Amino acid sequence: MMIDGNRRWARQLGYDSAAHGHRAGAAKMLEFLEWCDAVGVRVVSLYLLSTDNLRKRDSRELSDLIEIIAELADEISRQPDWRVQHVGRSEGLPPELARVLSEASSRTREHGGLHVNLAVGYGGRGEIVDAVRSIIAQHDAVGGSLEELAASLTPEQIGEHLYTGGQPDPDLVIRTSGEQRLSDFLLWQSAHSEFYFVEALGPDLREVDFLRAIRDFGSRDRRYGS
Amino acid sequence: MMASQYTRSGLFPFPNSNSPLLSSPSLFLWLSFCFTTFYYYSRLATQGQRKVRCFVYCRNKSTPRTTYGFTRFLYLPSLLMEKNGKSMISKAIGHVSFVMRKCLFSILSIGPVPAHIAFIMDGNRRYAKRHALHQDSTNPGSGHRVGFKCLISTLQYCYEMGVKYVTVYAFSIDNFKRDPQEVQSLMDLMKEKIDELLTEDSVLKKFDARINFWGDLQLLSEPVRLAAKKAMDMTVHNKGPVLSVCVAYTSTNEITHAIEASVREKQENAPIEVSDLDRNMYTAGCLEPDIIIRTSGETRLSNFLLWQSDFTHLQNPNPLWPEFSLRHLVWAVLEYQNVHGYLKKRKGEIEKNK
Repeated sequence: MMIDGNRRWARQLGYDSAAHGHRAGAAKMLEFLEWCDAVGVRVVSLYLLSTDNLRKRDSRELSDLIEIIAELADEISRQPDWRVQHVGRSEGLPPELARVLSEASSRTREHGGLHVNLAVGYGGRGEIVDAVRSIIAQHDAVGGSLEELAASLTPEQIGEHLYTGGQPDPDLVIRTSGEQRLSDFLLWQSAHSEFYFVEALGPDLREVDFLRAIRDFGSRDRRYGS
Repeated sequence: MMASQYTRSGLFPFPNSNSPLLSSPSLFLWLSFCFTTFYYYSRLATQGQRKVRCFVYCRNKSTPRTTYGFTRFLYLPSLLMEKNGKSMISKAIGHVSFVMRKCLFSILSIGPVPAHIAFIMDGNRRYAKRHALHQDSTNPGSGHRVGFKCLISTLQYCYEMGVKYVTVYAFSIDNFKRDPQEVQSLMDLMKEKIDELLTEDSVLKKFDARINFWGDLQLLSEPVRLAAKKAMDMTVHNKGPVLSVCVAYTSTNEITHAIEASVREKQENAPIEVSDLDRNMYTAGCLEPDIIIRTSGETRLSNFLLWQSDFTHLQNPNPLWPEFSLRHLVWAVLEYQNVHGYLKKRKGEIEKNK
């Protein structure tokens, strides 16, 4: 799920700060996770903060957003049996947010219910580069040469070293606010995913929109490339 | 200017009730006059000699549907030409159609024209089934033949519009899993059509276009691989627009290939960066696509240009690929023009913050 349009929502309602929009968006994401759980979805990935967002100069909006994301992560981790996983780079994140995310992940590690990936400090290209670095580091540890590594590299190996390694690829990617693009989200994993674009802004997403997305997905003929 | 005698608002000068035109049966004269005025204004718009307020107003205020409605009559000659064969009438209609397309593209050029359009040509087999084309065991690729004709006409329209790069998803690595007869007929069709593209009267020669083949070409059969190499060598010095054909291609394969190349050239202690992978992609040196159009209404990318489509506008029109025509292309460009401002602003913000 790519929640988009929080700032536009806040501007439309006449709020002076985008934080109101982000707060409404965060509340909507919690509802969205409940809808997913009710329908039987096993893994949900939420795109909350990209690496590009982290570099923004307007630091006041960024610090509000970080606080909101930390609260959301904490609240999601307190739901019974939901598992939280941080998907993204921890290095560029403010220490407080990184701490909350890592605590939420470790607290819910043994839970077997809905698996929630929180993409915070995430970039699709950065994820692939990090996977490559991790493969190289692993290869160096066993003393292999770079030439051998290049010859033996496979797409499956890269898939295993991504942040979402071991998880199934997303079946359905939903984006709000009518934007029809990928924005560098799960770019490797969404090779065969179906996309569903919703006109409503993030905080205005309704359960009926979600159910329509599921119904639309059900009618798709998925060929996985063949 | 004669047009000022008539109404100033609206695209066409509609005669008022005192005009002599209404009282005469010469509807043809009226249509010719409208067309001439239309062409005159569109030429002025492209030459930048004056702001053509009515066109800009129509384009900005209309939805793609209404703006497309205004220009609908331009498609009639194209339709007539497609139905006829290579007769004298067909050639004459072809010339008229060409002039009318120039007008249409002049209007479109008021807004930003995409520099790179990518097509996922989906729906050939469904088209063949729907139209009950000859699809027995001797010719399983009949839908793809019709699809190729559509590709040629779409290429022509794109190049006439001023699109610099066109990329098409011709054959995926996953398509090798299809019925072996269909795969073989596709390989034969590709060889035949690559040779056809190098002839004197092909669209590539007409526009001095360069052709690239992106993908793991070692997976292709020998004749196709050699034909592709020959086509690339023959057109490498062409200065015109570029056609990139993705064959035996998947984006994950492309990224893996770029990673292998980056790992081989990696210096000791220097970590791999995004720019290293960018440099080793098949698409290095090419602009990122502005639009990716997947026909037949499916909304997935099927492993196509995943790395390059960060800011690309994804579109999925309903027609099957052989049904995709000029009006669908115009509609796609109009939709792109509606979102272009926002995309450019977002891209600018991200570049500024890097």
